[in-house]
Amino acid sequence: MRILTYCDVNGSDILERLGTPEYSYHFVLEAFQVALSQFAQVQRIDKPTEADAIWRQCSDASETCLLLSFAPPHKTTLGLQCPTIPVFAWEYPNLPSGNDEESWLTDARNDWPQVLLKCGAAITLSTHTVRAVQDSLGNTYPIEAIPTPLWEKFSSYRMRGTLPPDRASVDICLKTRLVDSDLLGLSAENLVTSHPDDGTPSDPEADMLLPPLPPVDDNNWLVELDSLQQDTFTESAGISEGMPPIDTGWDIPPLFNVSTRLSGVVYTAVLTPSDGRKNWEDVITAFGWAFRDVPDATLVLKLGGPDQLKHHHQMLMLMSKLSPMKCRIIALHGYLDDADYGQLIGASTYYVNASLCEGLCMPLMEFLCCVPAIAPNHTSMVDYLQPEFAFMVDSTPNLPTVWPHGDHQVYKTSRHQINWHSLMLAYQQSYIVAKSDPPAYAAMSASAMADMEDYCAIDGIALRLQQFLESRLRDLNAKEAHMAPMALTS
Amino acid sequence: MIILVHTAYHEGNVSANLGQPEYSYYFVLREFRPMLEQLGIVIDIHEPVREVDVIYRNCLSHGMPCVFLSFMPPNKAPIGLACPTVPVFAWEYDNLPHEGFGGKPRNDWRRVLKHLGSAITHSSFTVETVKRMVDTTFPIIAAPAPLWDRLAAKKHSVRSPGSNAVRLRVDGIVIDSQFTDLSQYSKAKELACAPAPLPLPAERSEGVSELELDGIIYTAVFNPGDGRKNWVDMISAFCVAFAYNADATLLLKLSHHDISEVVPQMLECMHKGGDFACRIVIVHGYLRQDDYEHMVDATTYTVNTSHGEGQCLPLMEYMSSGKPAISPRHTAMLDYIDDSCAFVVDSFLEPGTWPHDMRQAFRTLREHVQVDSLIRAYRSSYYVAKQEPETYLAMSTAAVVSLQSYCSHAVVRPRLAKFLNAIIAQDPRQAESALPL
Repeated sequence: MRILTYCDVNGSDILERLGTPEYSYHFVLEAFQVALSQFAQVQRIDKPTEADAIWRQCSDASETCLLLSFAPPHKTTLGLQCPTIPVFAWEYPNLPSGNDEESWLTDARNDWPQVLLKCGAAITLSTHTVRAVQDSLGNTYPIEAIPTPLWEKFSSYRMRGTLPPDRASVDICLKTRLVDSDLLGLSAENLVTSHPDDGTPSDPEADMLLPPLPPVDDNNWLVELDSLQQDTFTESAGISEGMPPIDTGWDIPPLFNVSTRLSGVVYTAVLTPSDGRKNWEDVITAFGWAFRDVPDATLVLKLGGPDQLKHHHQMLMLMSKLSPMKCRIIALHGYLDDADYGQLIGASTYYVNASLCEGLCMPLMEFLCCVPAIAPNHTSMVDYLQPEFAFMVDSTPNLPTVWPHGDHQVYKTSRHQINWHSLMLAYQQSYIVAKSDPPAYAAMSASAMADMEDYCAIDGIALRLQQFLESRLRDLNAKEAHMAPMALTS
Repeated sequence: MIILVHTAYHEGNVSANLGQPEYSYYFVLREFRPMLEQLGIVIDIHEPVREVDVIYRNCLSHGMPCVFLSFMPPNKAPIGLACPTVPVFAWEYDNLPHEGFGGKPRNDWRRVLKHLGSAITHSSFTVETVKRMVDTTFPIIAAPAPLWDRLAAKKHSVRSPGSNAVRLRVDGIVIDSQFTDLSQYSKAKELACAPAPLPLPAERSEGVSELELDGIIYTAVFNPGDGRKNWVDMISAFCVAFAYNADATLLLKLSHHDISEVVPQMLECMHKGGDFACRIVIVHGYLRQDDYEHMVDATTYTVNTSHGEGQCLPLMEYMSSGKPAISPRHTAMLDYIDDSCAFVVDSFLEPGTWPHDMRQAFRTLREHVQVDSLIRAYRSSYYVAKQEPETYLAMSTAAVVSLQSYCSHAVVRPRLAKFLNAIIAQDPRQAESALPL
């Protein structure tokens, strides 16, 4: 069997497309190729139009040939002789229809059901998407949910063993543009808003009448940790040495090897802020609120996508509104190489996801191959999240929204509404587990690993891909056999 | 008893200041006035610092009990008076302002309240918040605006919902989604026009007009400039819930002195709702008392989707008039909303800011309705109105009963009288000067 693979980005321009949807497809393709190679000859092509020539060669040599197009249906090339199967991620409960948006009228492929019917079959990454497709095309439409095989990718970090959750700190050294909340001198007092002065009187003499009162303390949730012994050991997640983080205020610091020590419980989220469904505001505000009096909680945000400076400023604003806070927030802007990404996994106590919808969420899966998580149990995450290894965040469906690739004018679909309070409590509960119950934490990690191995190890994925694709080839043969006598009789 | 009262606005200037901070204290005082007049002689104070203690000292010399009620938030209550000063205030957040932000110590409400020694608020929720943050024994009562008797006394026509059309006479602006070209209010057009707001629709009616309403009518009365009211979710969920129901109407009665910015935003929100069959009507302007009552009568349900309420006068009015609610059950609504009289909308806590904090720093929590739950509440209530008239009538009766136990004279008056008497009794100067009977 010959399998051609295509996506609209290649290894050479991938760095420029960090955080774009095509960027994710590139990684899905690369992971799938390894699985496909177990049972087929895989050939990546640069243009979909190259497929037909190869298909004809194969045909002449009596070799079966398929094109897997790693792209959403509206970017799938139609009309090829080579059978084309789209591989796509989708995080909404319904499919785009051709006349949903004015700007779509010029390309019939914007009608996803029509594209999928023409292709005759599709592969997607989650059962949530299978449901959306079959709601539109019927339960017999051939589509299979096959996640990206990721289990093996991070095996080296697993072999070293997970870092103990109750460590006092962990040292990392990353080549990145690192923003460190501890250096920013954050203060709510300097916030300039459009809010007018409300005319509250102020009179130093009269105000002397007011009795002094102590600051408010509402950290009752921490009481159960008071009796515990403080940990003192520091782990090291990396090996190299760099310079300490620097403060560049309204600018993002330049790229260099940064060494820093992360205290206590480390939460990590990998996301693209410009992608609104990632809901990074809640990730930040719930963390800052939960741990405003907790110095040994650290949030690491690995940020990708466009408008870095705008998001840096947005983050400064959110953190200022939360300050004073004793916890620490670190943002890593831009690309991290595999070794540094692995270091980040090794340094993390938990992964955090507060998305409004997900087509798969590869970073969450990657981290779950090593550590437990905080995440909502909706859309694609239903396929792999379990309470044994995740602090589940409450969410509810049917929050109206626009198509992500449409005109952004009218609601056409929906996503989930995250219960912020539930997220905030999940931070606090997970912190208590990490600090006070290392065996429970270890059990969560073990459970996460066991489930992820079942879910996305390469052998299982390869087998499912093989069965699905062979079944499609049989469908095609049957169709041709059916067509041939028809041609004769006519 | 001499009861001195003060608030920021008076009858002469309140309508020009609708929507300004503290404007609603005028309406709260207006509801309290008849009850206060039953308890004593009410004297309006315009300048507390100049007037209150003069009257107080006269009262002392005549052995007349005297108390000063400041219908203002604690940060604006006078703190240096000899006369017992009781702030009467509305509050709807998870904690009290506890920082002297803006360099003003009085913004720490705990210190002001501790100094003044007592307070009146409108909900059990805020009573508990104050006791938790100031002192568990702090003298404070929940006295909601006692408006139940005024509304329940009127025999409202209890008619089957949606049975016949009504006509309201409106003096003001009426914008009706049925006659408005919502495509003029797309996000793209809004952005192109920014920072100026889009103009009001040409299809609006202004001046005196007649508004005809029929079907199942959902009414919300609110100040759109008040971010707590969360009209975005109210409108979006309505468009989703009733995309195919032409006989569902959302009537938005706005109270604000200037709607030129907010109404185009509301229309953008409706445009985003897509091709909905239901109808949304914005009314901005004055309704004569009998027209206002017609509007209440015409209403099937009253709607609230806010982030928090100190008491919510419109919701209380409609429910006292026998209108079941679509409402979350949080803050003040904990005192009068439940499944018997409302379609309860689930909500969750999220970061909030103290509304008068110029920094708008995250210092408190507020509630946010779950949109999915709101959509379901709209649909269930519609079904009940159309298919289960007995259930509707039972909910209507339950609304009246629930509000009776919250804000009727019979409930509030003895509580208030006892509280004011206790404050006067604890004022050493008044105890000393009291004339023997």
